Amino acid sequence: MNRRVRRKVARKGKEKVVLPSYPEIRDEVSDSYPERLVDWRGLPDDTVIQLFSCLSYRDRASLSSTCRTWRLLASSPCLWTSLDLRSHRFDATMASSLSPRCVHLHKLRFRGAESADAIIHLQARNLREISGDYCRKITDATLAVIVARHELLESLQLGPDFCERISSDAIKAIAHCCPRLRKIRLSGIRDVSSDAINALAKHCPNLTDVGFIDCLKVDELALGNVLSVRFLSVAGTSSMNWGVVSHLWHKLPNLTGVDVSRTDIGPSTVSRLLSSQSLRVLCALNCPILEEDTSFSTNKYKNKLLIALFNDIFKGLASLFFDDTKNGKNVFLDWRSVKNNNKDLNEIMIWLEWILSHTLLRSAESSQQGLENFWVEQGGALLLSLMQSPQEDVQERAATGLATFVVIDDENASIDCGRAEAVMRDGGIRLLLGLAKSWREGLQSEAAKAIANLSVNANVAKAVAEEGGIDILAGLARSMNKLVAEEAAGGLWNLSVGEEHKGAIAAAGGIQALVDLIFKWSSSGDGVLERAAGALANLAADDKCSTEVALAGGVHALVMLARSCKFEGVQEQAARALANLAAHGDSNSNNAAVGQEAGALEALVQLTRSPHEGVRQEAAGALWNLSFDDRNREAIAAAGGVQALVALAQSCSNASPGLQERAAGALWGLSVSEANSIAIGREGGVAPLIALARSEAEDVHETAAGALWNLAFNPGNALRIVEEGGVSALVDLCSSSLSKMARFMAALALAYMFDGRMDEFALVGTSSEGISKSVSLDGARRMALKHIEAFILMFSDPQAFAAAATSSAPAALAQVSEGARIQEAGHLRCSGSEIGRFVAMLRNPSSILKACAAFALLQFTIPGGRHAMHHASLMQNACAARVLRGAAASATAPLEAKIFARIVLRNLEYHQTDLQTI
Amino acid sequence: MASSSKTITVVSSDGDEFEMTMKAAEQSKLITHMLDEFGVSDKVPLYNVNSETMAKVMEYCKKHADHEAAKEEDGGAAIGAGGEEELKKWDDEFLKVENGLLFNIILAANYLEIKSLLDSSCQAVADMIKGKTPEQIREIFNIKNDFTPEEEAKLRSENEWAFQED
Repeated sequence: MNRRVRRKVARKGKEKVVLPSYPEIRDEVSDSYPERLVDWRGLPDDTVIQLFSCLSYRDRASLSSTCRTWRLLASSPCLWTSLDLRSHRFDATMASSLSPRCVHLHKLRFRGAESADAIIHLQARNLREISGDYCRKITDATLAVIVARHELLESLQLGPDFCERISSDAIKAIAHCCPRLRKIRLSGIRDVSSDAINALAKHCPNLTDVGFIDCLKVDELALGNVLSVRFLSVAGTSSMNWGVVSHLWHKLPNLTGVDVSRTDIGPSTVSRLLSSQSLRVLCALNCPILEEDTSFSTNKYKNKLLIALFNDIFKGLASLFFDDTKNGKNVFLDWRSVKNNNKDLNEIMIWLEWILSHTLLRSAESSQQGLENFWVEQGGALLLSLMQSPQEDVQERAATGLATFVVIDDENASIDCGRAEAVMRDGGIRLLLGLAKSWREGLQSEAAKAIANLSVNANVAKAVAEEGGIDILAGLARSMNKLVAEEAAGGLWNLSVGEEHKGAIAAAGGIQALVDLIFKWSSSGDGVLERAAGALANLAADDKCSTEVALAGGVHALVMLARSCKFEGVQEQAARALANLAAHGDSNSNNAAVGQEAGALEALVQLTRSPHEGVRQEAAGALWNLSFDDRNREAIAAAGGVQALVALAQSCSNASPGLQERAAGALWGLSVSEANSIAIGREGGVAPLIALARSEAEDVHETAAGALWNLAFNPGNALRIVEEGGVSALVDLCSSSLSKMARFMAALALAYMFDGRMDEFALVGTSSEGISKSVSLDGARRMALKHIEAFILMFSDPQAFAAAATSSAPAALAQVSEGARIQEAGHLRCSGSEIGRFVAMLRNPSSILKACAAFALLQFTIPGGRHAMHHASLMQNACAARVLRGAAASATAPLEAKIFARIVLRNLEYHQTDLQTI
Repeated sequence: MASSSKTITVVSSDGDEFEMTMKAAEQSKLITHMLDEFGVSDKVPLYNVNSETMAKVMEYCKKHADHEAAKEEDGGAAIGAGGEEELKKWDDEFLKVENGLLFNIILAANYLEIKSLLDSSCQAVADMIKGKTPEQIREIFNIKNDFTPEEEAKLRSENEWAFQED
């Protein structure tokens, strides 16, 4: 009791309120809502029902679980006339639990054979329309049972995947069971027999819409008997007997629309069909034989529309309205906005939308040659207008079509920029973002996929960001639907490639959403995890975002993936993300944080042994970055990193430059400590590093030279480098690499090798072979020194040197210093013993090594270098100034050594003031 | 032009009078119908809507009437999709209000039969609900859980399908 009151005193005290005599009551008052209390259950029923209809099934379930009133409204029949089960696991138990609400169900969409088996348990006897996809495994038996239990069925659609296990027997069953059938569209049936078609003709008098799409064989003769048919599609169906078609189909009395797209129909059959009395529209998109005949003309067929690649489709569609003035690209919109009661025309347009979306998607998927002009001039715009269709499945297919037709190459995720930008210009981004905001998850995922693919193009990405797309994608990434989250994460991945949108993604909460997504689907779904990790990897490349990734729990999430995910794509992106997180050693503590995450370093070491090259590369890259942290470096070695990385270097002679660079880079990082250097030498790391130093790619020689430089510090390793033929490799690098850094570090490696320490070691180590060794060592030494000298002379402009030698003016020295400076060398960090070794080298009998040591110290102390202060303080400790002054004044030293030494002294003076202030 | 600038007067439940243009009034089917009955010169009593909500609804009707007028003037050419998008953004901002007022706006839109306002305010509420647990939704709307434990168990099995991912 006491405690409660005291807590209140403290709080009220801040607000300067006198403690009231009855604190409990006061407390209640102050805690109450600042706003009016309204009873939301007082909303009118129809408004609540409208609210439900704006929500996904999951959200509807949550809302109905809040109170009795709303639960009752949630089961209103009008919310249960149609049901889309595609993104839900649907089995007999689920079906039974839904059954009481499905009495008035008219329309059902499902996905997959297992769901098909469960449909009958819904006991939805009033079902009128069934539409299913992923139907490859549905059998005749399943289909027969479904149609037997739903005798009111008017529409059955299975596709676009092929219904390989459905035969004519099932079609006969449909005909017998569903006398009210109006529409049947089946994809990928092997053989639609005359029996089956005749049964439909006989038992289904209302059958007006027939589609046998992508079938292997259809009895075209029997189709001539279906007198009721108005719309007929055999798109993509093979082995059609066009002679029979020519002979019979134009006699069908009600035939209004025919779709023969993607078939081998020829001009004569087309002419014959167009001569049919009743026919209004013939769709023959993508029919090569027809397209070959350049003399073919449709002019003589009045009031018939032929939709073909060589015709202006939009203009043709507009002609259906008997109004040629409207020939814009929005003919579908125009048609919808015109209030017309022409039932025939409406049916034609609805049918056209469906078959066009189907054929366009199929054509986009086949990425067939020769359609380039079509896509740019008409196809893209057609997909965009279909995306505005009132038919949800048309919208979805159009969005999928957009996502597909822009992709040229799946492997490299490259897209056709012309197409992508055409979509953007025609307002496609806004349309897609609109679809993405729908409550329907099928639309959300397809729209997000299209946005993701289009955003590979930087201009489109910019438009997506400007239209508010980043907020929408970040929202979808939080979806409970895996497919939606996956496509949204893919969108964020592509948008995070450049620097422009990273900040916006972070601001939209995208980073947290991506991290949460990894935890949510950690055990399932490589696709979603790969995209999330890929996006986080891109984001982590940015300084500020990398801090946010860590704050959001990203380190733990990514390490978890690196440790336990078995999919290589995920491992690769997780390792890349960890590499990028660890790349900001100066500005945040992520590097150390990754190392401290239990099992992180072990997992990355393990991943360097992956059979997948990308995984090995990113893991090595991560270890390289992590090794910049002293503790991580030793922990990596303790986790077996030396052996693993030496093995990686040994095995990567034929690998990509990216992998070679990182393998050598990781060894470079580890070899910063002498103990690791020795271990690397002992494990056989010298030979592969020499091999990598001979690589063609300059990025590779840079890291190989760096590693060899560090290794050469140890006399035992230096001797190994000589024995393995490393001198010539380093000499080559030193004289001819395109990378200044590689040349510099190769020179320093050679300087370590021949400053005398190795000779002592060689003499002590091997006495019997001493003489022959020393002979060959002498030759190697001469060659090394010659090239070191040549290297240093390259940075010594004679005129500037002459000026600096005669004058003591700072400007002259500054000019030399500027000419000698190697920009990237400012990133190198040396230990006390390394600096000590260069200081000692200033007294080396070889004047070349003297100059080299002064040159190196110059690079390490140039003001503005990242570690210049650190090096200056190390040199102060080593009393280097005295030695430098000696070198600068020495009579025997070469001019370069003297002037470089003077510059180093000046650098030290510069840092002196800073060091004192610290 | 003369007819569209003509104004009418409506009266809120608090007895306050509001003037609005005919164009703005046409946003509401109820007012349009009442005008047919009462005649333009009369004051239209809307006793189901309080003054605070009425002021807000007036603002909405004026904005949308202006937008329609602008669209008619240039035949929709200049406004285009960008104009619609802008109006959509305005709606979003307009509906960023405290829960109690949002509730009253929905009631008013329903009563006055302003379909676009009802649609967008319902969507605003739907956006608040998205991704929330039942408990979180109860908190937002200040609803008491009135289910018995038995009913809750039944609810769970009733709704399980919606939470099962494929």
